[in-house]
Amino acid sequence: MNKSNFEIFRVCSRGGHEYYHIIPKKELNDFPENVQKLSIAEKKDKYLVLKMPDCKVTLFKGGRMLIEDLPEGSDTRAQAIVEEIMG
Amino acid sequence: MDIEKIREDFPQLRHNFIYFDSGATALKPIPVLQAVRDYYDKYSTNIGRGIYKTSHKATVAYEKSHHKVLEFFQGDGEVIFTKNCTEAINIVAHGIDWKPQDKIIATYLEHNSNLLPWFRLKKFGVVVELLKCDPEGNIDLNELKQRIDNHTRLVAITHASNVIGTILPVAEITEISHKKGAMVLIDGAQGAPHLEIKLNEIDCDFYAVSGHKMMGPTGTGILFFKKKYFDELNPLNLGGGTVSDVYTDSYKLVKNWERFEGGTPNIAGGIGLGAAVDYLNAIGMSEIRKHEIELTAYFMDQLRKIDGVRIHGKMEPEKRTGVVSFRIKDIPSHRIAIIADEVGNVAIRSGLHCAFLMTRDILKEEQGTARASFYIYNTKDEIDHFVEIIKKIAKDE
Repeated sequence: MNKSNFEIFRVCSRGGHEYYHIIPKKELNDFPENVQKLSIAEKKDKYLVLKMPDCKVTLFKGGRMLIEDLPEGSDTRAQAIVEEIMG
Repeated sequence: MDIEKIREDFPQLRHNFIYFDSGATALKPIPVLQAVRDYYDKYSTNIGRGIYKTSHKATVAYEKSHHKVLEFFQGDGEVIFTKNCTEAINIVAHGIDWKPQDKIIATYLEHNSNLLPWFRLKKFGVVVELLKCDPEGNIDLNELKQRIDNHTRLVAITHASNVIGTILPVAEITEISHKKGAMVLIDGAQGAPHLEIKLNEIDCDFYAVSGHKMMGPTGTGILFFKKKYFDELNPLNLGGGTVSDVYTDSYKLVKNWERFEGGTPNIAGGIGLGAAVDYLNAIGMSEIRKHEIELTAYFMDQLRKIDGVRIHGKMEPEKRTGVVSFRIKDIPSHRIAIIADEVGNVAIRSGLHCAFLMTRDILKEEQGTARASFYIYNTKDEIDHFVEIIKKIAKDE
């Protein structure tokens, strides 16, 4: 599953902070296996918080995500992050 | 008051949905939906133009809504319909003949809608000064007195903060401003839906309202102004409906609200707004206020018991509307909001709330706050459900 399986929305671009809301076109059954290779900052029943070099990502089991606090104009970076998480 | 019965009037609540974002827009009850539907189904024609029966019916219904709104706000003045509160404020900003060195005083509490229209006037030489507030939303009335000078034409202030819910002493502010010769505009977006408004007592010159936040359809707003401004205020849009006569190089404006609502207005919305006023009247604004104070007190009590949660604003629920901004440790507000939605189907708002100065500079919340805002259709059970989610978010692994 790659970035084309997701819809990426810029939800907030205020005061230089950019947030992206990622919605899978088809809901996943569980976290992607690839997350094991990533740094997990927080693990809860229904979601994980992943620590990326430049931001954090909240990832839900169904594939919904929130990419937190990138600099303004980070659309390409947001797409790359989705790819990286999905593997 | 039977809240369960009231909840039946809101179809969206039948789908396991907890809505704590009424500060952004309110849910719409069936009578409002029905009024809009009836217009489109049975008499969807233009107003003020046709001599036929359905046009007459639409005209009467739309006009009647104006009267209902004026009565609801207990004001001796004029009411015009706008597309939202923002437009209502912009009508005043564009409608007054400002002169260089005129001064406008606003506050750090304001929503962008009650700041940016004034900032734009700077290019005409208008001076805009901002009064600071403390983190509870208190402003210093003595400072206000001192700041109002001979150049001050307008004090523009919110009735209640959309970030922390603090209710401002608007009658007192109006009195102070009038004594020193300044007009007063109140941004009532967060006040009108939740408080009993007696404009005759507040005595402000302009009161701007968001119709959709008081259960009216989206695309509705209200501007109230005193009669003396009827000729002083230039309409934003001129065109169909605004004139009684047109000559080769001039025109004569009509003498009623149509002057300010150029072109075909949002007829369905206006009629729906009238139905919303009927709905609020039937419940009673004092009952709504009582319920919201109870919910706010309950929510804040629950939040105070959770380690790592910090509530912003006044701790006395009767001094605020049902808007509660909070943070959980250092967790970004958007993360709190998305978890609430995904895990618990709870809709809250997050971020800077279009009040950058208040949220970022006064509350020091660079990345915003999580904000729950209540209305008559919310319950303590819903709050309990949300509080459980907050506890889980706050709990360390």
